[in-house]
Amino acid sequence: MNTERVVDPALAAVDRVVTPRWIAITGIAGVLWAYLSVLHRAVVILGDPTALYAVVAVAAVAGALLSRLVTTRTAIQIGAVGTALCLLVYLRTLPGGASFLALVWPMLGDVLSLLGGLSVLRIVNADVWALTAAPGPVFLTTYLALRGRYAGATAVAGAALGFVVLTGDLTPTATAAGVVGALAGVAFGDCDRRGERLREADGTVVAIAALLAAALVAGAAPVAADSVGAAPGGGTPTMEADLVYAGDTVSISGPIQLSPEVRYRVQADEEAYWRVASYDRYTGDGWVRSQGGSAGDGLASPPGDSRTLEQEYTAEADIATLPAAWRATDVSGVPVPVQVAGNGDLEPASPLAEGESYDVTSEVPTASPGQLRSAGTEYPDGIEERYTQLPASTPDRVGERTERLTANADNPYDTARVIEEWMKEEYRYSLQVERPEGDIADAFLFEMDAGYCTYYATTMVAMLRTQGIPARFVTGYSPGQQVDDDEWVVRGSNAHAWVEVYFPGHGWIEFDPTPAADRSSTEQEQIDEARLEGSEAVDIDVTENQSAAAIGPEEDPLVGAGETELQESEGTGATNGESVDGSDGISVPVPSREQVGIAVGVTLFALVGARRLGVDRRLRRQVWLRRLPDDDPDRTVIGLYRRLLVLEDRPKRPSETPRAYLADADERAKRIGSLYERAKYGNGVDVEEVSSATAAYESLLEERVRVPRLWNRRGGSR
Amino acid sequence: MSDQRHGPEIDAAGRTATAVVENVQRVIVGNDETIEQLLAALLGGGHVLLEDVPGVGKTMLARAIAASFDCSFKRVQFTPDLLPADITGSNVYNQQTGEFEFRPGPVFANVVLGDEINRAPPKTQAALLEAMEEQQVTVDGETRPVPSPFVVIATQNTVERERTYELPAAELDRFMLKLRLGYPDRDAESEVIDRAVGGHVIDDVEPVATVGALASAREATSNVTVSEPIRQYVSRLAEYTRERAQLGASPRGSIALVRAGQGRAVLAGRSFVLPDDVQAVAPVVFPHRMRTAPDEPDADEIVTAALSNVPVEPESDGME
Amino acid sequence: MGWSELRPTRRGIVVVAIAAVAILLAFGSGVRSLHAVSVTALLGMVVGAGQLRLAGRPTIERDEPEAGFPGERRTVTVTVDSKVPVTVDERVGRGVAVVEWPDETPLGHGGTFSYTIELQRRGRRNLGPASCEQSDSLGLFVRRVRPDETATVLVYPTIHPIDGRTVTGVVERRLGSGRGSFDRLREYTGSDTMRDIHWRASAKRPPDEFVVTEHRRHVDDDRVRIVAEADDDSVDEMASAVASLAQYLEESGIGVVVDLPKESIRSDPGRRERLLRALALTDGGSVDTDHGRGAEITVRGEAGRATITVADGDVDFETLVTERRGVVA
Repeated sequence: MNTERVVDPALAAVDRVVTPRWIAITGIAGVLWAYLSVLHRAVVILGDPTALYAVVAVAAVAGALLSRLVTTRTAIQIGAVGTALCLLVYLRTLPGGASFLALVWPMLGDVLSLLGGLSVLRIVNADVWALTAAPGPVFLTTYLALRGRYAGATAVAGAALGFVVLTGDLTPTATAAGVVGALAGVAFGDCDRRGERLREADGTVVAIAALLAAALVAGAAPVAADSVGAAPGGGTPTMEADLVYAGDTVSISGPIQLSPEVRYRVQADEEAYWRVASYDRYTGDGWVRSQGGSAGDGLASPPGDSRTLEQEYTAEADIATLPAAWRATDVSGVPVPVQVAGNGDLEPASPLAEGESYDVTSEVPTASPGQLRSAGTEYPDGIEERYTQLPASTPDRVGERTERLTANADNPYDTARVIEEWMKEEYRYSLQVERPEGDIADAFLFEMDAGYCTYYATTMVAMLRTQGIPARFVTGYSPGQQVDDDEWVVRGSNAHAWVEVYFPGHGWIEFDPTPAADRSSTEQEQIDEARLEGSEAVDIDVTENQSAAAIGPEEDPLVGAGETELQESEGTGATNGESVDGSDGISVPVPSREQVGIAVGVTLFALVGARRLGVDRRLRRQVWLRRLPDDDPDRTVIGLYRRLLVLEDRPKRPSETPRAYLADADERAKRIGSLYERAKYGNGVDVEEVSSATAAYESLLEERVRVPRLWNRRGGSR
Repeated sequence: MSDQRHGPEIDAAGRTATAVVENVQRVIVGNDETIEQLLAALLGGGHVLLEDVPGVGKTMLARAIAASFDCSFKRVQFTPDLLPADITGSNVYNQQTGEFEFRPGPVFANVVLGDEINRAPPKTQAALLEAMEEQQVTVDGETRPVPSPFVVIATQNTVERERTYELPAAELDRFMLKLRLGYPDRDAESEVIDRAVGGHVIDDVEPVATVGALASAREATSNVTVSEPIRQYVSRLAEYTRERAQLGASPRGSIALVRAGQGRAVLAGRSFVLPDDVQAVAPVVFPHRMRTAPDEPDADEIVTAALSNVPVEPESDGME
Repeated sequence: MGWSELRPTRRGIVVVAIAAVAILLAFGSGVRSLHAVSVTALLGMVVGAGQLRLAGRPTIERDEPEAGFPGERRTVTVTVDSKVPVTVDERVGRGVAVVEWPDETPLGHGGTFSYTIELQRRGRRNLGPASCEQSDSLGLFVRRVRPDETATVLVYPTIHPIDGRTVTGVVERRLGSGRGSFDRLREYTGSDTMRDIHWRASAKRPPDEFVVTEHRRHVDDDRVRIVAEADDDSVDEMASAVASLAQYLEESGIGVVVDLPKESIRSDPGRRERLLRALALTDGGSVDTDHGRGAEITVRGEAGRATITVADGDVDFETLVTERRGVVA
């Protein structure tokens, strides 16, 4: 029988504040939060998140106010109209402008591809999109939740959550938390509808806590994997997988290994970097190829001077990407259909099988340093905006550092060269680096002293962008093992990342900040190891027994012969003043968000369990027994008496008088009893009497409570 | 502390009362508890109903108490033909002076023993009850006060009494306590015989206090501290009886309980009432005021149940 | 109780559907978070089913309402103790009917609610057993249980006001009888007879005042004896007739002794519960002829009617019932 127990005032206060209604609202808010976190990320990457906060706040306030004022139908109408308006606003910002109807089809196509796993980060105007995708769900969810329509609110928030789950933008942990939040929303919503108080709804609390714990435990393995950054299926990722087979999103890993299998052979008059893809959008911890980033002229020839390079590629294994030297102007003989993206990437419809081949004609830019220096900074709009993007979370010190480093360079070319050379000098090449938390470029600049090409290239692009210089991250293969005058064998270990910088009048020009000699020696090591192990794909006939040392000339093959003279800025001297020791920097492990989440969930479950078992009550009682009352004399004595009742073995019956109860008790207990009688029924006690009572109590306490009794030995009814 | 205001008087009252108790116990054998209860009622300013079988000495008890206090004592035997004037007294024509003189009736004494009060006609009963309630009687339109202190000890015989002859509840309510004098046990009985054979011991009762002492003892008793928790406990007890009997304890009953409790406290030498005092007197204060249905538990059982079930203090699990 | 008793709710089906869709989509798109959706959703189902399976049956306590007459209403307060949310559907026996049922009885994790019944037919009527639907705290599964606890309410037979002319003879004879030894003296009032005056006591009083003796009534002389029998199909009518007669006599200050087939009940004015109780519970049957002797009134229920037999003769009870209420005040 759930009789009304007289409850500890502290618990009662908690009970008043924490009602099922608020827990339900919190759960639903959690779901919405997961959704908004994705939008937040998009906005941060592309610009300033302030606008998002404002939009969310307005929508929430509107939802809250209207929850008291209008009916649900009206609110839904408002929500629908609002969402439509937002959509219109978004569409107007798309290139191609105002013609609504012309955009409907592509928009639907976009939506479908989003649902098929296209990250929102790839949307061209992802920030505008995020701003327009926020208000509708926030308004409706807030309205419905405050109105008590928990199922409806959960459905709206859940649908929004589902959307970002399908686009692949939400981590599994956040997703699981969102699902638990949704279930908590409807379950506690039920409690609220039934008018229950939290105390009575024990079952719901335990159920949700159990679910949370189970979800966290079930997700623990993948979560651990998440936070370490290792690929599912175990094992260190390969450079090739990270870069060449990354698809639309490059995630930057920690320790990495090289795969020495041969991929293809290239026949060409001279070597070049065999380029696969470029990425325009930096997220702070990786690269995303936005849809707009594929805009461009496809197979057009670069402006400015160039020379022609013919290449023939033959696949020595199945290859899923089609490398080509920058910049391809013609592709032929490809056995599968090929699409050429605007930024020059070749996208085959299906992989090439071993033995298949294709031909590419490229125009390699040959601008001289002098020409590039005087190229100016009149960048076309499309280029400048897209390729100078940096997340709003990028620390200012990246730009400041770059400023100081390149203070003496007064044109983009020199700036780029300074950075390039400085990075080659300053950093050690290593495949075994721990992936840093936070912004990669910032970490590489200020905390790391070694890395591999991904880190070098990322940081250089970020630094250039802080100076307003359009630059992008490029992936592909380094030239590989030269087996003949005009033939190179390219392996997986040659996968590489470098930088392209835009110069007006010349187009995209390659830079490579990774120290070539170190890289090629590392590559050679891997191949030698593989040869020792006898793995098969490491060599084809022509490569056996030859050093695979790639060409790592001191001279940069990318820019034409010419000045290599650099003027380093004064600032470089100061660069060594920065503390860059220890590859990881801080050795205190900061717990990841997921780990914090697990800790919170387990603690919550433990607390609920303890409360159910009454452990907290027993603990409180023990503390209370020892905490002597300190009040006016009467109250003190009354407090001592109450504690005495707990200490005594036999529970006192309510109808027993104190005198009767203590008739057989110890003298000390009797003393307290008689003082209690005076305090409660008589004319009070004075201070000396109180101290004698206190002494008596303390002496009894010491005797009785040698072993703290956390369990209830008395079998009496309670 | 705040004891001191009334402390000394209460102590004195306690000593007086204890002396009287001991004094009476010398002549009344057995029934120690009853004697104490009686004294408690006396201190509390109440009247007492004695119920017993004839011949166990209720008359002697009343006389002994009166003698201990050295105050006046009168006994009235109630019969069906008793008139009010037989109680109050009347104006009698004195031939010599040629005027009407007031001849006081037996009610003008400190201790009045009314035997078999239920046999008298209602009007006669009314005269006595008026004296008890208002401390005065009216004769021929003239009101005269009864002596102070004034206590009535009334008796009802149990042997011939049928249920329908009980005094009405309103009248019974005016008696603070109803006590039962039982037969003495064998040893005590032999002692009684022994004493009776040797002449009336009652004549040997010496006063150990004065009327004035009784008056101040009563005054002191009314100053005994009755704390709020006690008042609430008494209320809870009364409420319990009201819920379970057809007619439970009235507010007058609660007041009587408190006063009797005060009396007991004084006897124990305490200046404040304890729940123990309340529990001690409740079985003699409440039952006679209550009415129960025939096939329900009787009043004594209900009061016993009340004492076992009603919490002395309100339930509290709170830890402060 | 086993797993098979659990049924998914609409919400439960939605959750399973979401999990299924997530699994299907995960195969297609390779998005890892979809596994989080399906796993968490399925875990929710497991937690819900587990909690419901482990929860005990609810216990139900009802406040037994006081007995009453047909047509009266009573409030029944029900307290349900359940570790999981429960909805209660009460069923009452024939002879009482539910007239008011609270709007919302999803009780949350146990609780109290009240409903109103109307008493309709004489007898001991059942309240309950109830049919409960328990669900888990997440609202994903339900199961139906039927806790055994029932309560009862006693319905007395209907009392009709009766026109006393036939019964008057009995009443008169009763009121005038009985002389016991007196024990009380009281003042003479107008309604006393001269022979009650106690002369000796009156002599002591002023000339105009007299005192009269008051008679003590001997306990059993006063009561009218009623014998009541009935066939099984006419017990209600018999009981009603007896109750009505007893009421009428009581209002004249006369107690009754009723001999029923199984027991004999005394009833005094003001304390009629025992008789009403016995009448509520009585079955058909007949009374021993021994007992039946000395009965001033016999009530017999046959073929759906009650017949009253008084010294003057038989009369159908129906004819005694009067429309005018309060005429025998």
